[in-house]
Amino acid sequence: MTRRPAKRGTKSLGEIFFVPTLIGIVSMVGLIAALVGDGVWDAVSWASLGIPVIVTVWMVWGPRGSLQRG
Amino acid sequence: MTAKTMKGWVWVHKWSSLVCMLFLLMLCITGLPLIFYHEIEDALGNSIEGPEMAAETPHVSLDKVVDGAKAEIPGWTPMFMSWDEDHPAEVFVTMAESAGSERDNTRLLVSDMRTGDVLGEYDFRDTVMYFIFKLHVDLFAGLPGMLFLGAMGLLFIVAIVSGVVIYAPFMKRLDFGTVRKEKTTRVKWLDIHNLMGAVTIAWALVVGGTGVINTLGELVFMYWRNDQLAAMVKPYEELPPYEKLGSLQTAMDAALDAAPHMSPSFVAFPQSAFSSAHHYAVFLRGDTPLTSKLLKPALVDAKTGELTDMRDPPWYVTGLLLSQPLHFGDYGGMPLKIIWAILDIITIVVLGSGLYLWLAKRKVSVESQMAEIERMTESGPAPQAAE
Repeated sequence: MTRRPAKRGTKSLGEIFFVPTLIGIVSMVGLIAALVGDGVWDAVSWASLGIPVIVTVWMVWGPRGSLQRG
Repeated sequence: MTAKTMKGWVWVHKWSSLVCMLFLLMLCITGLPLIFYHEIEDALGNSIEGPEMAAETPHVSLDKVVDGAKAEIPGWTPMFMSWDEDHPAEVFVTMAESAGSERDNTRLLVSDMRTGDVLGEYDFRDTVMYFIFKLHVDLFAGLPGMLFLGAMGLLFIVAIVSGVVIYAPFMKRLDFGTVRKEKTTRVKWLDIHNLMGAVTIAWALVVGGTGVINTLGELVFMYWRNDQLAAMVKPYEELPPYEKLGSLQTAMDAALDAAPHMSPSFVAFPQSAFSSAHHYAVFLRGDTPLTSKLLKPALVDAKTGELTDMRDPPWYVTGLLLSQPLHFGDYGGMPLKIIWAILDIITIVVLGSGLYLWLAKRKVSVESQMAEIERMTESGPAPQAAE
């Protein structure tokens, strides 16, 4: 994939994939945590796998969701 | 990336999704109640449980359990005996006309570990949940159905990967997660599709990937039988099958002695699919959250009750066993199951919105679609999804 110099107002691949990558890493932590332990490990798993859910709810129904940007 | 390459990825995303769409929708919808299989069966009153007794009530000999089960269905013989971690007082006994019968032609008894009495027969095949389960696992078509769904799962993975690639041009001018509600319905659903798809990438890849691995389960165990199991019972190769079996309890004790800190998950009787003609195959699980998901086979001579061999399972069995919880979402208590269900619903929305976007776009001419892709790849303004 060739990276085009970012023109005004356009995002680089790094910018575009920053948040999805972060959520992906956090999700993987959550998927593995509950597998290796109980108790606090389960809680870590709920917290991290809850993040994609919370982000979705926030973006679609939250106050930011109704703003037009970009 | 050139416009041409991007067009290729769009094509891959479109067709991989469309081909697996119906099946993936079915899998996600049937998968939803399956997350709560035990809870639903309990609520429907289909679970069989023994009477309340003091927690420390000792368990009877497994031979008594075997005798009780045989008396319940005269002429039949146990094929498997299995335990549920969450219900230590009960034991499931799979009965067959002979230990080598087809697994479809079996009856499942639930016995009490504290009395050896049969508590009842679990007609699991008559339940709604079993119908949903079979649809989800093999479309009522056995191994071919299972492998077919595995292929659909692979296409789903291709759809996710190609979706990630074509996500970039759509998001050039948009902040992460933007939902343009004031634009047309199509633009709004495009944004929702991109957002929900993006946040569930890791989860969907893991659940999809482990689902594909699970469809290979039958083949993996068939291979294991000819590989490790055959090697473990090699000295018995030439012997005729045992007619009369010795004590199961003695065999269980031998297995547990050889593996402290482990507890039985299930026993496969001689001539059943998971054992030889001369052994009780005792599959043991560990006592930590991780090792409790893994199984270690101990092969015990079904006549003498002496341990023949015990080995760690090969990597492909371990991989399969670890794929199960990661697909089912049953390894982190009720909160994890609820999160699993929500992520499943989000995936249904991603699939449904994807289908809608394709249907809505079919009304648009090929020329304007091409122009849109050109715009996307030329760092032009954010695509406004032609109307």
